[in-house]
Amino acid sequence: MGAVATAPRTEFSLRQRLAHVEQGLFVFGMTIALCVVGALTTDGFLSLNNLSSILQLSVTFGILGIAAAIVILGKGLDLSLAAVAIVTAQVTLELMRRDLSEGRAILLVVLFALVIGLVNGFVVAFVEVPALFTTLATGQLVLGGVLVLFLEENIYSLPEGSAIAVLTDGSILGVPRAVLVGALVFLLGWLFISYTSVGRLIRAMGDNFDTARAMGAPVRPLQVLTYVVAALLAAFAGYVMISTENSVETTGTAFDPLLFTAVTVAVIGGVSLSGGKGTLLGVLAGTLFVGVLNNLLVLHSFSTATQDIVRGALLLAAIALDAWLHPRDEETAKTDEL
Amino acid sequence: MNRTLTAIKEWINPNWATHMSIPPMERGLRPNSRLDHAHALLTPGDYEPEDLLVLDSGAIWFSSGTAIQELKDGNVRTVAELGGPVGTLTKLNSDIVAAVEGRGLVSVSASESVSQLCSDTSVATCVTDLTALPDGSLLASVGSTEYGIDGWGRALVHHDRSGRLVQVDGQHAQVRAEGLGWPAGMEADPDGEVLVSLSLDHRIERRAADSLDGAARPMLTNLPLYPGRISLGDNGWWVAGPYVRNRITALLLDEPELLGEMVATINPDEWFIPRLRSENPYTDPLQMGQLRTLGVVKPWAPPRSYGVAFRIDRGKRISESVHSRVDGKCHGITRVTAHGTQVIAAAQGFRSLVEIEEE
Amino acid sequence: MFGIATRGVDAFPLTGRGWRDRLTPLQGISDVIGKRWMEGAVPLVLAAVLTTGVVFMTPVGATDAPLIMDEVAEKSLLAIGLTLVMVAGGIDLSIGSIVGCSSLAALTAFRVWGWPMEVVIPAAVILGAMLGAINGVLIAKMKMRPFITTLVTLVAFGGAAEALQSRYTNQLAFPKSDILWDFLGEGAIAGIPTAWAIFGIVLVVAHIGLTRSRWGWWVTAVGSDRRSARRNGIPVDRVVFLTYVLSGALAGLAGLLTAARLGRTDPAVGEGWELIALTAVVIGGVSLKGGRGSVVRAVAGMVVVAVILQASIAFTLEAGGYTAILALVLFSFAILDLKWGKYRLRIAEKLTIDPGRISVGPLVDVTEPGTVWSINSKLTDAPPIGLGTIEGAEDCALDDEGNLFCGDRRGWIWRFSGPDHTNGEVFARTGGMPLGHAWDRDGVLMVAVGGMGVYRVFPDGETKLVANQVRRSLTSLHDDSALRFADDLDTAPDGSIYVSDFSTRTNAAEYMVELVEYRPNGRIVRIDPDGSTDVVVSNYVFPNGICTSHDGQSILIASTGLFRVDRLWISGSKQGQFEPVMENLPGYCDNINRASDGNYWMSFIAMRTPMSDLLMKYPAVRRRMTREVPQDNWLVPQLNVSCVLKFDDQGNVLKVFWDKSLENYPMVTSINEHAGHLYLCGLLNNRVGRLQLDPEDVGDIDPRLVPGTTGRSLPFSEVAR
Repeated sequence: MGAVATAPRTEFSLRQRLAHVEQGLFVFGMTIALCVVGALTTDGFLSLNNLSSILQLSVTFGILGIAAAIVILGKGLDLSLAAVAIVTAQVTLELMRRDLSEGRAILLVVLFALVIGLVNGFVVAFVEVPALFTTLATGQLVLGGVLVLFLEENIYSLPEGSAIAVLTDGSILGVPRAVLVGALVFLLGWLFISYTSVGRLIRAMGDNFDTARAMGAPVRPLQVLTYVVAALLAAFAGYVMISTENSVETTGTAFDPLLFTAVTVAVIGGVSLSGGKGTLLGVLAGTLFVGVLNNLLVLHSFSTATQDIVRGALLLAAIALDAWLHPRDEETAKTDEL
Repeated sequence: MNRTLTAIKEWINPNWATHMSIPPMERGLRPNSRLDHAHALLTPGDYEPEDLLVLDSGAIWFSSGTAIQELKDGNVRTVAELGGPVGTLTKLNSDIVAAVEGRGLVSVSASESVSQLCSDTSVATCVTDLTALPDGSLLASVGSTEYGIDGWGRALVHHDRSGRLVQVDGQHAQVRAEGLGWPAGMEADPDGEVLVSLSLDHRIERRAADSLDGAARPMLTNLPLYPGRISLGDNGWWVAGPYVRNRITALLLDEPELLGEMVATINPDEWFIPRLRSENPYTDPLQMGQLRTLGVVKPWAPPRSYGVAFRIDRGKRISESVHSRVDGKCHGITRVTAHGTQVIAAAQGFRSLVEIEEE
Repeated sequence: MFGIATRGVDAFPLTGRGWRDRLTPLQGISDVIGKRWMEGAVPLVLAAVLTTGVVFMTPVGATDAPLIMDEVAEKSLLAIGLTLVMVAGGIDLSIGSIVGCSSLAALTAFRVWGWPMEVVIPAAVILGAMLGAINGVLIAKMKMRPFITTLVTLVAFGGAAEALQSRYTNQLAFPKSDILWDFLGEGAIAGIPTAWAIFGIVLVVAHIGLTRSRWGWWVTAVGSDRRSARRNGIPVDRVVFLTYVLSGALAGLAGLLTAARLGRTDPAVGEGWELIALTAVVIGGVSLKGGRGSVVRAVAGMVVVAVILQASIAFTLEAGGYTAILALVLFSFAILDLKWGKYRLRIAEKLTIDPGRISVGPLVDVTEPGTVWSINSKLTDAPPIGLGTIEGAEDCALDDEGNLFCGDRRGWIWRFSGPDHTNGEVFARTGGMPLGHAWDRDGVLMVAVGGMGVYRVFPDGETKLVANQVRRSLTSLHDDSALRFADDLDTAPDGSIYVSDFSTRTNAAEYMVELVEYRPNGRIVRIDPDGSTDVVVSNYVFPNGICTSHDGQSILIASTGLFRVDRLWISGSKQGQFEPVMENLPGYCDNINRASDGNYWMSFIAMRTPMSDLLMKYPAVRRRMTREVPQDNWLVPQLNVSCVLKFDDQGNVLKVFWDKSLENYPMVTSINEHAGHLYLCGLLNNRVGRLQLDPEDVGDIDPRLVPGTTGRSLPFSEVAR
């Protein structure tokens, strides 16, 4: 009997060691670094007012980011989120202008968002059209269709004293309501994804669709569920948006900056487009990162153009880092990933 | 309309296409050749045994043609000539009751004297099986009210569902259940239930003896054959399978126009439905798998006639079965009886009685 | 598709059906759908339908054509670039911003910095290429995901464009003119507006490049299966990088042309163009997964989009309406294209078997005793030759020395020699399925090899092709030029060979499909001594046995599917005529051979039964059977029955032999008489039978000789090649 050979000690490269770190924490670190840089270079950054306004402005795209993350975790993609959010606001206000009671208007619109989510889910899951095209088309369709068929004004403003306005006005215990709302949604979303069996099945499905299906997970209804949840969250984000901005215009395309921000927030937070990877904590980190970034850019009075460039560059850097840390193995990569 | 809808559904997503299929013979029903290796008790061809009984004396009484015959020590003699095609036999107290087509139920005593037991019209024709209930009365299964005992094929192509269960008490007969799909076999359980095999529904179910038209609990469903008579033995029930399901027959039953023309223009012997024996190839079409290649007909070819019987054990599962496959001759099993350690089958297609050996 | 294609004698009327049964629309659809170029068909056809619909039903008309072409010319450059990227398996969403950047840069360079146009034009394209290169580096080199990367660069480049705009707003407002600028914007080359001409050149180059150049094949390979492409040595990274650079360059060119046409600055130039290009590309059938797509089809899709745009302008729809309609079109086309790609071949397969109706006469009951058909066991005890060694001899031939040559389903030809044919050896290997055997005028053995054609077999065992092709018929969608299923053959006195082609659609191994389909797919072909072929009878329902009549003036043809024997006159006063000999037989005929007493032998491979006759009247049920029921369960006539009959020139049946036990000689496919014995061959049998004939049945004609010839000079073993 010979001696048992000892396993050689594996050397982890820097890349591998970094890759093991939870991406969300990584991004938190980057946010803090950014805050430090910001505090050092910008006046007025660290004021309570400023910080609170960062948080308040981040809530909308944060909620959209959660919606996008839920869909992306299930290996889908939802490009209609911004359209649903905008349309929610527009249609509710139009209905209220037509003398429908606020409660009824909200109910109708939420139902409408539900239907959009169902259509998205059905076409992606059962008719098997790629999610990219489907959600792109539904987003455009919804936005353009509502505009042409339903809306009559060019700009809608939130009437005083409506329930929606109450959503984000004022503060409770010193914390702005918008922030509380956002935090609540994050908490619920995190519990849903991490701790419920539905959330776990969604992640399993996103990680390896065929295995999840072979295991017995009801993959198609789950896909539909992710799109429905995303649509409902997008509707909620629409209400938050109009509540913070008090008005909404009727121009714009489905490729709204809001959509970009939502998707990039999710991707930066570690929710990989290949499905199944990432946590909502990462989305939170991504939201904060983008929020701080936006704030800094505005405080430095960069023109929109420069803002776009800088933001784009930084986001590219974040994505490049992700690609370096989690490289796609050429041999085992799934072929139809975009 | 239905066909168009299915075509559209199939085009949208091929996974939604559903086609009918016959369940395979597997597990307890896995094919073997035990029937071909079984010992023939009669010279094949002399008689056409329909049903059989083993008396306590060891003699075998079987019905063939219009008479009841006795096989004892290798010799056959006629016990009674009953004047009409004799179907099923059963023991009632010390007598043997036979169902005679056109005459009703006839009782043959131990001294071989024949007397009419019941001539009620409900049991006059098409009585497929008889069983004695615990309270002393007889339960008769009537395959169909429209066709006679040899009308199984007609009942199949006309989707007949007029089978009945009739309780006979002396001269008095009462219909206890109606609307069944050719109940071909019955056996009463000591604990008050009756097992019924519904041939056209490919099912064996249990009914309570005192509420035969009530809810039926299915025991075996979607069988790959048309179940026949049931006998209770020491270690379970033996069920005979005279006919086996064929995919083309199923297709045929789903095409009303073709079925109607077949019924109208072709001789019933030549209908493409399962049969007890395959004899006349000159008027029989072929299914591709039955083609004789290099001198061999493969055993797993699509069957037109087949020999199969199986035993259901106390756990309500099929525990063993005996087969004669497509390349064999012992087809058309109409009854299997277990008497002690002897298991004897009436192979009407083979025209003989066979004794099945233990595995 | 149309049983109209007739060369020689048209045998269709023998089926007893009318002209409507000649048409097989479903089969025609299946043939067309199965063709390779149909891959992108549905989207294109629908696009064409949509366009014509819009043109006819809206105010958009011929006068709008130039406007539409302008749109198409510019945006198609984007579509072409996007096609290239998508075929390689990626996606480029930043092209809209690249257009904006380059158009603004061109204007800035020209109006503000004063660069000469000769520099501005290439610079704009190079700028686009460089922006594309940024994409390429990020995606190809750094392996970032294309979608999210180009989404971000869309925003970043857009910002750059806007920065340029805001910096130079005032200066840009002053128009400056230049000849080249005007030429680009409003000039024309040989009457075609410059932009269109440039677009046309780019389209042609891109199409040729993608479909016929090595680089184009590499792009397709990378998109279809990246891993295999890499393993095959294709430089995947470089190929992908180049696609992004090209996409950027084309976007840059488009921006330049737009700037020249509009003549003003507008930061909204290019906004939303990526979606328009994406829609056009999807309409054109480019697959999102990569590996499939054509720039021509993408441009066709762009035409549809441009037409829709014109229509929406004509209807004065707001911007929202236009995008909504476009989204709807994108949606429907994506769904249709997906389903089409998945199910095209499956649909073709499902439709290819198209059972037809045949009118049949009444069926004779062969089991009735006392007729000439009475069942007997005359064949049962014929001693076997090669029992257990032969597998499937369909036909045999005997030479002057008494050697027996027969086929084998493994592609061999056996030779059995010796007094009782006990020494068997593999004589020749054909590589196909040897079916009919015959001797030609020079005494050489000829074999019809199913799947390959007609071959001559020489005494040394070498085979030589005689003929395997005819001219393709003009009206057949399906290529019927090959002699797919050469079954039986015989020689005419003038040396030409008549061979039956069982089916132009199925091959020899799947003959049972023909037994279920009953379509007139077969034909008779004449091979002249010089090797040229000609179709003498077409639209025959599986012709099988061929036999030259005893007087050498006609050919007897047995049709398996129509249970009849016909005669084609080849010389004499009735030359070219086609007349029946026996009709409405109770069985399916196979080979015919001459008998020594001036009559003919024929075998039945199957018997008609009432059930199978009934099924012949229901093609829809047979179609359902072929689709839903496994092939093993298909209902066909009774093939397990053997029957050999002798008939005379007038069509009277003289004698019938059966094998009642069905065990020794089921399914006798051919019978050959020689020296008082009848040799029984079966396609699925493992022996050849040698039946001794009654002396009263034997005459003094040698059935193996070609009628009209007196004898061969050399025995087979001495015939030279």
